[in-house]
Amino acid sequence: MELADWADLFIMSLWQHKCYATEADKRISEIQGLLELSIQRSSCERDHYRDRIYLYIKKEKNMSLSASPAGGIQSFNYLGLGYRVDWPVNIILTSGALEIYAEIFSFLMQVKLAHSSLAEAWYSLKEHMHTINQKGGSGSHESEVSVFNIFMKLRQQVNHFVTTLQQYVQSQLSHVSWCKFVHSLKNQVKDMMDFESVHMSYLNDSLHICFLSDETKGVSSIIQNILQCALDFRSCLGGSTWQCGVEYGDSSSKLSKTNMSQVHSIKREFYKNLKDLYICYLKSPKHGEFSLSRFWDCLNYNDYYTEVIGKDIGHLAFSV
Amino acid sequence: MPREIITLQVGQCGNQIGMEFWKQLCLEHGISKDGILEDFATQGGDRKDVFFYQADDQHYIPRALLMDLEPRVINGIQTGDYRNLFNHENLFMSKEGGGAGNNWASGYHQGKSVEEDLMDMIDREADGSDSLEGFVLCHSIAGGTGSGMGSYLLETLNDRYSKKLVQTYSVFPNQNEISDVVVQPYNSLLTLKRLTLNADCVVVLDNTALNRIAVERLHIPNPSVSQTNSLVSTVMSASTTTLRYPGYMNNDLVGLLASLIPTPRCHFLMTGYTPLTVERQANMIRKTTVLDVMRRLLQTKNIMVSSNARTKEASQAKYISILNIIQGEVDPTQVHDSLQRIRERKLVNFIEWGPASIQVALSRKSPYVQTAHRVSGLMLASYTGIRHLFSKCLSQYSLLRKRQAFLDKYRSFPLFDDNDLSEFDESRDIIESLVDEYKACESPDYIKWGMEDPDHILTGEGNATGSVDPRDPSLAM
Repeated sequence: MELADWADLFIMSLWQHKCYATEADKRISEIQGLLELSIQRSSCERDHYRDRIYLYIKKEKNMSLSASPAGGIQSFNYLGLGYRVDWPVNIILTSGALEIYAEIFSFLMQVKLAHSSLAEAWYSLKEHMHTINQKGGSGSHESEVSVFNIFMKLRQQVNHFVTTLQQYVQSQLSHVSWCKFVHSLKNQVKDMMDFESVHMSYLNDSLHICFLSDETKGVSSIIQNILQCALDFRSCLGGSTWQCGVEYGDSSSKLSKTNMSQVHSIKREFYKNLKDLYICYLKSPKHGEFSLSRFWDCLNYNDYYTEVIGKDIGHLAFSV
Repeated sequence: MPREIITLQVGQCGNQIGMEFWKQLCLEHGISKDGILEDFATQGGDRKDVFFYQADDQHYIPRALLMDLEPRVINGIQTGDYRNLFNHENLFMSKEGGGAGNNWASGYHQGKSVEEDLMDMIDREADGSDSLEGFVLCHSIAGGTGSGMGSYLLETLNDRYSKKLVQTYSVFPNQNEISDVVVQPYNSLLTLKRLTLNADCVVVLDNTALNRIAVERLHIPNPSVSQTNSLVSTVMSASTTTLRYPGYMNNDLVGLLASLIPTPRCHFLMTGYTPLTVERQANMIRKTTVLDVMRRLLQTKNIMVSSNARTKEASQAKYISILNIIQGEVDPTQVHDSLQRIRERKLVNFIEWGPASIQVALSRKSPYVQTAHRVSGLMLASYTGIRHLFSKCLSQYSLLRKRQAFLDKYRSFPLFDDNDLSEFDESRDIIESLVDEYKACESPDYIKWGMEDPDHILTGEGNATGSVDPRDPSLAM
């Protein structure tokens, strides 16, 4: 089940069917059906444990989340991913532990949602490029190219962030922390108490990797804001439907009609949050396996951000 | 819901590399030459349905259309070991059977005259898909059919299936050998125009580099076509691994391309592969850590695009994006450290106008194919240095065109009648601007925020006077 292609399909279905929190109570069985269909259509169709997965509505956060705007990055946070466990596994996989898994799942859903939004935006842009090519060098051509470039560059930057985040989470969560957990299981566990504590330490590492621990709350809200930029960017391009390849109408007129002030406010928001993240990075410890500095190293791989943001807040770098 | 991909193999080269690709896919998914799932292929977890569908009797049939204007290669497939694999309705051979005579114009014109037949086949195959993601075209750019008919198909697909992705595996001619196709530069230029305007992604397979790899790396003095094709099929199958063995990332073509091609105009991808072996060759690879694989993928000797640039110009070349697909037994905990090592050693020269990095996909490997090496890697990269290949095509074209050589072969077809050679001029202009675009990408000023607003389109966000505040640091991004 770790081959998350079923999750891709599931999130796509949730979006297409507009399964927002407002009517969630009435639609939970429909949403459960979407989950089962997604698993059935994925590479996990023959997984022995597929029937153990189920969905529930998170109680404690239900009220506040139903107020979050439909189409936002937290649209599906009201959903919890449950896993049926029998005795004796439930001694280790306690309800508290399963809640942590559900929290991580919600975070991964948000990342997927942002990633798919940017893929859809890419579709719109490449389609627009074809239209520009067909028009050739007419009078309006140059200004259209300019608008196109603005979109292309903003998408490239947000996409780099989201892809890097995915890559980081995949590497640290699915590979590194898992390997560490398996290693501890083999070498440190002598009884059930050890088992429970090794598992909880694995879950704590996982929360830390996804920036969901208490110490990383600040980073988490920055990441949420940037993921929201990805969704806003798509809606700027008029992508109100999920499926790639849907009719968008005349893409050239669509871009020129786009509200440029909206595009710029996304860019500002993105930049502001990246700057905040950089400041968090400067203040964070530079060592340790699961740390912000690892993520920042990937994000700033070609030193682009230290160039741009570093110059902007150079004085801060010396003051921390 | 598979995101299906339909493969169109066009012309002699397209069908040869296409056939090698299907052989490899059959091996990897445990499908027999007749399309039957082998008894041992029980492990599941793979997505066969992206490239195959199942007939009523459960046979796996490639989502492939085989097209040619002369019958030799397709006849060979029909009488060969894999004769029962393909849907016989999906084979198209011209009734005249005379081929395109290595003439782009002939291939294009014949493509146009049989458009209805070709599109009927494509529509039928598309209708049989649940959620078609796009098309993959395999062809050569230098001959007549793959280049000319391939070009016509690209234009038509763009028109008819504008919402779908079109990716190509395009074989570029060996520029170090004297070709018997003297009009190769004309054919290449005319095809390049369509690849620039009508494809979303072009995986460049440069025969110059493939031959160099075969001679220098594999020690084959005179590599045969089938030996270089074997390299091509390796690249093709490796580049589709993440679609066929899904994981957390890169599960569909758009996911792959949207990250690899941030600049839709610069959509030509370069590939590198390690370890390089041809079929049945004894394994010569030694140590294989993630770092070794990633380091080797960046070495020119393993890259399947030749660099024609003089040293100074080559040093200006920059990577826009890189995806390394690594298969086999690797220690996943090494990935981060390996990436940082490559960064410290400055082994990659990235663009300066935006963030860029190496993406790593650790992909599953077929359990049914035994290889002597533990780890293999494919690099897909958007690299500005590829412009030198296009410049070479342009200069070869100019030489021929200056002499007005062999133009009569083209004048006899409608696109060039009345001595109208504007198609050549237009194609040249488009390739020149493609080269310029890649060159611009090498500059830190490529797409500078705020600079591209001469008409104050961005007035909505500017200050009271309607201009953008130049002190806004976000403008630098």
